[in-house]
Amino acid sequence: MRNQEKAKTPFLRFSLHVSRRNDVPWWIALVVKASFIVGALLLCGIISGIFAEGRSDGFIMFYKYLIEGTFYSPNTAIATIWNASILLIIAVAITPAFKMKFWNIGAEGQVLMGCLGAAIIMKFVAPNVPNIIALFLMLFMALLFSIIWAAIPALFKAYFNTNETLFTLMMNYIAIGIVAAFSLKYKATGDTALGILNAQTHAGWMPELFGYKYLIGIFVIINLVVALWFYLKYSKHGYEIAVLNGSVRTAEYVGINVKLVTIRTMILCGAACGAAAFLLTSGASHTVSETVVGGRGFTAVMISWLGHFNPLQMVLYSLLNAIITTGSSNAAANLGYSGEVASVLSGLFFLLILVSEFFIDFKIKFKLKFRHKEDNNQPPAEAKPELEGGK
Amino acid sequence: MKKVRLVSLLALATASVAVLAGCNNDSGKMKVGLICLHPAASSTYDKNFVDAFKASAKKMGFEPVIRENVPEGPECTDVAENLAETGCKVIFADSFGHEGYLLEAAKKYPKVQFCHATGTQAAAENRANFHNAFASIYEGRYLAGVVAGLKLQAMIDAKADTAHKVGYVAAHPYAEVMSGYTAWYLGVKSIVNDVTMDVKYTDSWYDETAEKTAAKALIAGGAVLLSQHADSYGAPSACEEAGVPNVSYNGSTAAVAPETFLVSSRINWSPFYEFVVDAVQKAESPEKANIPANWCGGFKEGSVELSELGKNVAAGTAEKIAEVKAKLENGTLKVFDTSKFTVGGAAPSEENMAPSKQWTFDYPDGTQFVKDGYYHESEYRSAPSFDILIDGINDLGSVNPQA
Repeated sequence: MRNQEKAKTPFLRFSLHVSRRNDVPWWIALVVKASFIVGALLLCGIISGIFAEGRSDGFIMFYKYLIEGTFYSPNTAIATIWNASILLIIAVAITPAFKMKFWNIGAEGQVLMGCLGAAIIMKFVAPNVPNIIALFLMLFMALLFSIIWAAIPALFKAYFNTNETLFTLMMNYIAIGIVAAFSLKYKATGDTALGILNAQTHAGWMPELFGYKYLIGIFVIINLVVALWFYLKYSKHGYEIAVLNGSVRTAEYVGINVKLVTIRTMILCGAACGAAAFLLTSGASHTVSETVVGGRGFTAVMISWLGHFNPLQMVLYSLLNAIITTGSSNAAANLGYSGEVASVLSGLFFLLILVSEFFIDFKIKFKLKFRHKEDNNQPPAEAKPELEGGK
Repeated sequence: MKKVRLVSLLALATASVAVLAGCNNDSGKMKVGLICLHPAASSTYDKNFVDAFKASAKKMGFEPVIRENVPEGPECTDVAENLAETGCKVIFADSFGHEGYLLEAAKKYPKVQFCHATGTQAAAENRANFHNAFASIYEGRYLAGVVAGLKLQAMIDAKADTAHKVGYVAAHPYAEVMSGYTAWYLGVKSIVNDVTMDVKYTDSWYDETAEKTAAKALIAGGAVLLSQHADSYGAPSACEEAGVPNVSYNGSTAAVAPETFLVSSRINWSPFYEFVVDAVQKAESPEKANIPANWCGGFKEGSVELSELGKNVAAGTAEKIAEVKAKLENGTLKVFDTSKFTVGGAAPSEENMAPSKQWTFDYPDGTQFVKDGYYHESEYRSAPSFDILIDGINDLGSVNPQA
């Protein structure tokens, strides 16, 4: 009988306990994140080394090409910062809604509709008016279209309590359909898309600054991000959003008009998406197509979450995203492996950063328990030392 | 102490970045870039470009830099500029939608050669460093049509009530596709004179389900032999299931249709890559390379190829291919011979054959497409222009009408 009990009780017991914690000092969080970023970069280099067939320097050259593809020259560096900036402004645009727990995952559609508004002016009005007027009209239309697209789910949420996640998601696909229909109607016969608008006259194109086409857009975005940061942190509206984040009932109790705040905040999101759309259309794509936003509306959700809804933290993640996606693609091109591998590297990089969040937000306890060798009737002794994740 | 460590770490990191940036694996070879819309691993279209590019790099000894997954947007300009800055003397791009964005980079880097496959703007732009390229693939289509015609004739000979009708699964109603299916039809018609052809569109370059559905609809409509211009295995696999002989594009599909596959035609981009790289190497400087605004290679240049023949082709097919190919190469046979087809019941003429002024290409005043007894395809620009529906071909519209 005693032998049977012994057989049932394992010699070694392992237990894992995960609990949430909010007491991590900022510098520990920073060290954990930095360690994971460095680790992710090392892992990318190792994978690159494996896939760079016939080359022994695939690991080290990955970093060379990562830098070369993103910061080789002022022109390349500005393009990288532009890619980060446009992602950043979209991430910041959706943040006020996230902060009040309105899960707006419709940024892709909101930006796309803004692009459509700007492109309509670019195609039909810009060739006939001075460029400055064309640009103002494009900005106005981009803001209008994006605001309408953002306000619709807000109105339904405020008055009918619809599920905003599904609503905004579906609005993305409607926007894609509308843009596809527009392209189909106005593209040249036999062409596959609308194509670059006003390629010869540059009507409705954002002017270059010091010979760089993205510079004005970058400066505008920096100002917008700072303004939105101030708005969220120091304005009465920002405070109301923060209260809503805590509890809707509390907000109602202190006299905040929840419906008004919901609609107003989404109008603000729409306006910021509209600004992004205007800059994208006038400063980069010079056209509209179903793919012109390129999934940035979805990537922005990740950037906003990783940045803990803090616009200044989002700067780092937007920049990292631009560097790793473009840089790994350049490494793949030069080291002779597939662009699919570059996509995997980008995905893996951000997966590891997300994992770092887990180690910051949760406390992990491993326990190893040994059965007493001499007397099996005694309670098992706890093994030392205890391991704690994130410390 | 901690501060000292932090500063040391930062200094080390900065130094590492500087060293890496300065790393140089310069092999002394000329760097040549290729911009692809999709990864070659998942797109047969891009794979055709990439495989030829790698083969040419090996043959000519240049260093290939292949950037995949580059969208048809401003990212294309950014990538092209980065390639130019990092030492590429020639940059190719493979997708139609890249053209305008590649052109922006060409304007900024006049000392680098930019070559765009399938595009149309080079002649109008008239720049020394921007060029369009294609291949006279309509000749390959015609030859594949001859193979199909021989098979159809053999089927008729074996069974007298075989319908004189073939089918075609087409991606889009664009000149590139229409020129191809008309050439293929004329190839079949050169053997079976009273043949007709049904065409069904999928409205996509790659949609396996739609291609399979279109093929099944054509077979149900009475077509006894099929061809395609779409990128998946949808049509050949539907033909194999139904036991219908088929002709594919961009490479052999014998693996998925071992019993029914007849032949395939494809563009080989190597001759174009090699022509351009050779011109740049021979030139005093890249911008002075002698490259025409439009380059179009055919059988003679090796730009158009037929695959191996399927195991069930008609007897005498190989001999007939050799005979027709020789005539195409020496110019005694013209694919779009106007004595061999009619348009709306009338003989082809400049009036009923003028192609729509597609895309942004403006043909010079007085350009004549129909002269000397044939339609001059790919002569005024490398990309196909033939987009007229000729008699005998029935456009059945899209397989997905709401698309």
